Amino acid sequence: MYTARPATPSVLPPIRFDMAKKQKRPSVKARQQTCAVTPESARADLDSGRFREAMAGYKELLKNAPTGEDRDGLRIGLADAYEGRARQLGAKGMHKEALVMWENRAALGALPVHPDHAVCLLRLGRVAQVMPMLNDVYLKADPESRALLLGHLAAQMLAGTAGIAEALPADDPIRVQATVAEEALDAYCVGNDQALAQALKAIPFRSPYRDLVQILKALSRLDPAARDHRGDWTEEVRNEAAKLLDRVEDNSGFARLRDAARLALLSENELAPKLRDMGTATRDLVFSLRGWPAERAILWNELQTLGNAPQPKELLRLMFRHRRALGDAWVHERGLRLLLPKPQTGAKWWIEAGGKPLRKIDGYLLDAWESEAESDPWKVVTYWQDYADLMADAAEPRVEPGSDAALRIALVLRRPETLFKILERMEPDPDPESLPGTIAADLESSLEHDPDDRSTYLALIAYYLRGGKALKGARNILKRAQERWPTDKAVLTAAMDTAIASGAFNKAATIAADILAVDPINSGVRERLVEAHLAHARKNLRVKRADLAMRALALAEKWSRTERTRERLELVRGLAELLAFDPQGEGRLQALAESLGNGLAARLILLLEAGACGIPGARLLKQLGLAKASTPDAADLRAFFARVRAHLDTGAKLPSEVGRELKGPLKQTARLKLDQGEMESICETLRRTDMHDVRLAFAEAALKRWRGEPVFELHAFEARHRGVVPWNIPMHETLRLEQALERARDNGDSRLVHRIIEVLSGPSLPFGGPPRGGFGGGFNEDEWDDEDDDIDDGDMAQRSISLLADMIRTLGPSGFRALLQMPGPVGESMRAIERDLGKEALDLLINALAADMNTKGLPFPDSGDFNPGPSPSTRKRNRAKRKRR
Amino acid sequence: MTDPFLILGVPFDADDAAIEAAYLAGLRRASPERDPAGFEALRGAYEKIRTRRDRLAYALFDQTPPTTADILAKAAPLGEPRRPKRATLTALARGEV
Repeated sequence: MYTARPATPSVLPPIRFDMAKKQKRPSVKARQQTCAVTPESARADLDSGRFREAMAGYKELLKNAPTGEDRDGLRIGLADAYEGRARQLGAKGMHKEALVMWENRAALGALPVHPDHAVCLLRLGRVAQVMPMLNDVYLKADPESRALLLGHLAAQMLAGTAGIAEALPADDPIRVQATVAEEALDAYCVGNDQALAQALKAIPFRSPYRDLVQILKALSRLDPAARDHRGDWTEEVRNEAAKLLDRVEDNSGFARLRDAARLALLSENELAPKLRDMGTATRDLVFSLRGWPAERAILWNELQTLGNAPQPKELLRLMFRHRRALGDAWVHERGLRLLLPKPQTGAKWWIEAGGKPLRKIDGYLLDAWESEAESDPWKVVTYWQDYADLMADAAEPRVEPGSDAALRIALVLRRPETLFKILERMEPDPDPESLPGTIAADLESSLEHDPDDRSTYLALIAYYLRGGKALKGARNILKRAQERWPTDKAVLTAAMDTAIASGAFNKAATIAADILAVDPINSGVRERLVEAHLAHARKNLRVKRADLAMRALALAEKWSRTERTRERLELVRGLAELLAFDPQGEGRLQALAESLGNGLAARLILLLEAGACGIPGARLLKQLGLAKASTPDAADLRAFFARVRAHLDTGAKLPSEVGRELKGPLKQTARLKLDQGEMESICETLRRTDMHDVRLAFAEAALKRWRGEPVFELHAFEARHRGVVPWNIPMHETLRLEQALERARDNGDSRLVHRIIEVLSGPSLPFGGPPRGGFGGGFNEDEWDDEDDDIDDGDMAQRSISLLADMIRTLGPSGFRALLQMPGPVGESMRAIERDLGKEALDLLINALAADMNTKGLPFPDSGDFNPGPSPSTRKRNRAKRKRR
Repeated sequence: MTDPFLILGVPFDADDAAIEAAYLAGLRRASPERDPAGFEALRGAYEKIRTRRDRLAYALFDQTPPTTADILAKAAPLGEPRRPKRATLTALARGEV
């Protein structure tokens, strides 16, 4: 590559300052700097790309420098500064200005011709000035630089730059190989790949056209068949072509062509942001290679005028302008989406943008979409119901089941459940106006329009079976499902679950046999059936019918395949034998306990099973000689908690007898040296039980070993203050938890931070307990009663409102509304207050407070979490008040 | 591009068979091994409009606004790649951009 040679001392020729007129006057600062210029400072400017400063510095130094070797070094520095500046200007497309720099450099004398100087001349069409340069002795001695210059000449030759051929000898490779290079270009452009291959073969390896060969080879790889579904080149083709293009250097005469080809390889997504900076020639090449029709390019140009992130209104306006190409239906359907998230505002500029007035059904659809932005299921239910009603009205006299219109209505009726999964989580509510009741009714109604949607039947059956109080509903839906899919596995499984829930165990066994006939490895069915027979056996044991229990166990035995179910069968069998005064029972249970180590785990399963069969656990343990066991070891403790977790995971609670019998030895085991993860896991498991003092023992033991560890601080705090309202907790305890919060934040444990904040934020229901008499949950009963005596009704109402306000502030509007929807005494007491104050007044209060508060970080955050929303009556009022656009 | 019909390159009234055929054809060009991102886009589009119910649900519930890429693809879809004009190559050889 080109390098400057040492120059012989000479008198400096006059330097042209053509640029002087255009250059800004140096600032005072720059002049001051010039006064203090040194060879080192000039070199530093040069090295850091400050070529103008470097030029000024070297000139100043040369003016004052004596003749000799020092001047040579300064001249070379100045030449380098000119070169750098010329390149800078060339890169900006300022070729005329760059040429001045090159000429100034050349004027320094006795420097070799720089190939980029020649390239600059070629760019300006000054071929005659380039030709003598080819004979420069230094360039001849530098084959790489010479080849570079020849490559540029070759490119210009192909570009039709006049005067090149005439200036070159007849046998010059640029002239000789130009013909075949032209043939290659022509063949490529007309798609004659055979001729292209021949022409490329005819170009020698060291030809000045060799870069063109690589580019044409790369471009010919871009076959229409090598595109994916998005119109992008496949990875394989892109890689192959890119490899060929990488062989062309940045300073090649064909670099522009290579750059354009590289852009054509990009995907549509990658290309979009780069199109803006492309020139016409590059864009033409890219559009052709990517198959852009002319109208796409025109539309793209139009889209560019809207900026990087077009405003929805502008995009809509453009869509309306091009509605013929886009299609009226598409513009309407997709355009509606542009009106979100504020359709009321958007609907106004819909017409301004060129749209026809929106239809009533569009307004309803926009309302429904808008309702989904909030986490209020009631709102979503209401708006989608309205939309379904309107569709049904429009399709009068009758919507044919299975038609598109019917399916649309069915899908709309199912939408709230799809979004909120309420029936998946809640038990059937007998109140048809409740949220789950309304959603279940909508799902049932959807089946009239779309009776072929199996998943809806199954979802409804599972919902009605939950809690075991709506079996009639489950049976009704099941009957309809079985009529349609009599042999379907999922429907058969639902039938089995329904039979089990109804206590029809023989029927369940028959259905299970049917399922296993078509699906013999369905272990879930076996497990469920064993569970069902076990439940039946326990039920019989509870009424002291050991004989019937043994019969159920015999049936269960047939289906049992796993160790776990065998163990449970053995247990229940032992209990049944004990109840029947069969001496085998005691031995069976003792052997079982012994196989489990006679420790905590063994006693746990005995207590659980005894409790389920209505047998006093303490007496059983005493009878088996397990009332007092040796101090448990770590393995037994692990086995105990594994079984506790498995029990809790079934959704069952841990019987209080387990706590009574085992909390003593459990507390002792808190001293065992388990690792931190295990201790944390044990505390988490205990959090799910009522064994708060055991949890406290483990948390405190952990805090002795890992002082101040936030997660154990939280467990200790919660366990210590379980059932105590937050305002009765000593301040130093709260401060301690706040310090733990800071440490959790420092540790970056965002989940724990969230949990601690929840505890510190206020009374979550299980923590603070239900409010008494409206809002007395945290107050001493006597004091409350005393106050009752002293205040009149007006004061009471005022106090209630103030307490209500506190609760709304603490829980947030959604959390407060969740309280109103809760079943049991909590919800009842809240509803009583709602009745006392009046729904209107309560709504006003909630809305007024909600407007002023930031609900983030509250125990029931409004975004994302389930929010049962306003009461049905409020919903109805809202519905009545809705104003349609 | 966000519109699944445009991603799969099927008309808006395409039926299950046409959509499956387009998906399978797309898979041949964008397999999960060679082009994971392309495959994800293809799979996502297919799942959105695979069945009649899916297509109706997409029309009813999808709230994604159209992008400029959607508008381009709908109004003037990509055609077959063409070889560039000789004049374009000449201009680029001359150093034009």
